[in-house]
Amino acid sequence: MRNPTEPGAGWPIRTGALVVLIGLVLTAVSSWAAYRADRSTEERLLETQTRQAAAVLSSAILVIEQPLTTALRVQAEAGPGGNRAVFRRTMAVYLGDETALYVSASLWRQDGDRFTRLAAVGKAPGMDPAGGEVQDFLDRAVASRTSVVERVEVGDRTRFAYALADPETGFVVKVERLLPANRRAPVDRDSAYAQIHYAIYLGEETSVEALTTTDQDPADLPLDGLTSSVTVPFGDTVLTVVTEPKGHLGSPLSRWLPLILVASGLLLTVATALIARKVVSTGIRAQDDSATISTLYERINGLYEEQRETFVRLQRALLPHVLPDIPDHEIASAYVAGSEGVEIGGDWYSIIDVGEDHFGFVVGDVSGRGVDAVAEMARARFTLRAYLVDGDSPAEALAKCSRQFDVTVDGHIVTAVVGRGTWRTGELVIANAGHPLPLLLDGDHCRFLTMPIGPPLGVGPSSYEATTVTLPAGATFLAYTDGLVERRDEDIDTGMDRLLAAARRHRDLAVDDLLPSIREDMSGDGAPDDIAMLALRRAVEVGVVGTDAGGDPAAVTVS
Amino acid sequence: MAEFAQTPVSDGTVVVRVTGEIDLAVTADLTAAVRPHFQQGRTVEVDLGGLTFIDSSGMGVLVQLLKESTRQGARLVLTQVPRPARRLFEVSGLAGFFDIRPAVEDSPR
Repeated sequence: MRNPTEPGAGWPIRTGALVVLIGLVLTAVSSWAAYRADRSTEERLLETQTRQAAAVLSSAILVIEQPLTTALRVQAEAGPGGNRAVFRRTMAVYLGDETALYVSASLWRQDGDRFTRLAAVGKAPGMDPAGGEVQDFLDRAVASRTSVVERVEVGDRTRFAYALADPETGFVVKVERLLPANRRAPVDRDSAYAQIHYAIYLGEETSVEALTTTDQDPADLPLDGLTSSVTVPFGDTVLTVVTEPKGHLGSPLSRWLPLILVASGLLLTVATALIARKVVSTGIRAQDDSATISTLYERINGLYEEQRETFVRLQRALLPHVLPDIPDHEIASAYVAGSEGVEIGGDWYSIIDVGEDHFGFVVGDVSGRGVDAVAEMARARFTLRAYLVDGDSPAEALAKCSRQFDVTVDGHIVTAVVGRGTWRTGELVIANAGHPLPLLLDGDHCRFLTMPIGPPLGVGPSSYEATTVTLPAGATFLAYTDGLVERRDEDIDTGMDRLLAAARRHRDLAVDDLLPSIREDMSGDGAPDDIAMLALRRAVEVGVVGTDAGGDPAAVTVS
Repeated sequence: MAEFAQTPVSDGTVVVRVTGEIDLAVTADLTAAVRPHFQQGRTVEVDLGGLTFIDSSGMGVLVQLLKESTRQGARLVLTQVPRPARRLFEVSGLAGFFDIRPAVEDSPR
């Protein structure tokens, strides 16, 4: 019954999408926060590591500079001429190749505006001792309170030239130190460098030209990603240390937390979306189901209504449309469908012209309801009619019928009041097969007709005993089915007493008004069960028609 | 609505106690509760002490069960029949058909 245009149709998808969106946003936010926290921790840890590395570097610089300071002090103590032999001897311990502190060392003295080399040890200096470059370099040293540093290219190797001056004595010590080949320094065993990559530049610039040492392939520089840099005083310039963590510096959890959050967030999002979708689908299915059930109920009700209408039409079709005229008698009938259930019952009434002065009448009731009951009613009605037309007395007709109805076969029992009347005399011969007693309304004398009650049809072959009553002029015979008197919350006598009272109240009404009035007193707007009623009233002035036609005036009883 | 409680008693008697209303809605249930006990020589007591209402459909099914029991050599007995139901049997011409044992609650008025 699902209509795609119904607003509910897109709900599972829309809800799923909404949940996914919320889940993704939450995941992204929490992951980003975790990432930022981790990043900030990493930055802080790297900064710490870099400062430690810088401290180590500063001490390394001291190691490089210390011999220069010592040499200058020795020369100052030696007097203005200096002591070249001591210089050579003391510096020799620092000289060597790759791993040595210096490759060359020289002692200079300022004489006016020029510097004179007093002594030199080690390899040939990269900076030409006769050139102007060294003069400028030493000038700078004198002007500086610290050492000065200069890069010197010798072949494919780079050296640092250091110079430290003693302004008071005019001595200047210059050394050259070999930088590692290709700038690559073996990874420092110092714990300060254990967790970081580094690149050390001379000066503030971090260009390849300024690079002094690194643990990386210089082609891969500069360091990228998370980096930290710090400068360390180095003579009259600085060394810039740039670092990058080798791995994750903080706790593994801190590192993986963002990924864990992303993964778990996505999983939760998907799970929640699926659950939400299922829940909403279930909800919509439930709505659909209830809508479907409602629709089905409506249809079933509709079908029942149709079925009921069909039954009612069938029932009405089986009931006499026009009651035959009986001289000197007024006849009224009523059929009222019960309010209980949708199936109609098998209640009926008949007036049968049996020729000559006689007429037959039947009020009957088939137990049960529905089309079976109606069919059984038709069978009972036409069987009784046939016997009556054939001339059988009511008792004979019922006895014959009792042999043709079997509750174990038909599933129904049939009760009936069967009568044969003689219009000229008002005599009624009545037999009863398990049916509620008819009423006789005669002025102040309203009563149930006492008569033998035989078993209903269907119980088995039975015999019936008829009773004869003569209807006084103006008196009314009233037969009905049990729907008029039977109520679930009371016994049958109570209903019958109420009927007697109602009949007494309305006995003076015209026969056509009598039945509706009684019925209304009995059941108001609706009785639970179907009701059939038949009233036969003998005219007040009898004998107006055909009383001379051989009738016996004495038979017209007025009592 | 009605309930049917079945109690086997010694000497081949089965008691089916009916509580509630016997109308068209429960005739099939009543038949199903009683009919299986119909065996040669057995007595089935239908205890109507808890009966609150019976209509013509209910009486029809009792008649049907009575006839079937006879056919199968069993005996159907109605006990504890409440007054309203007994009156209904009387006005329906059925009182003489059933083996109705005096009901305990039955008090003449």
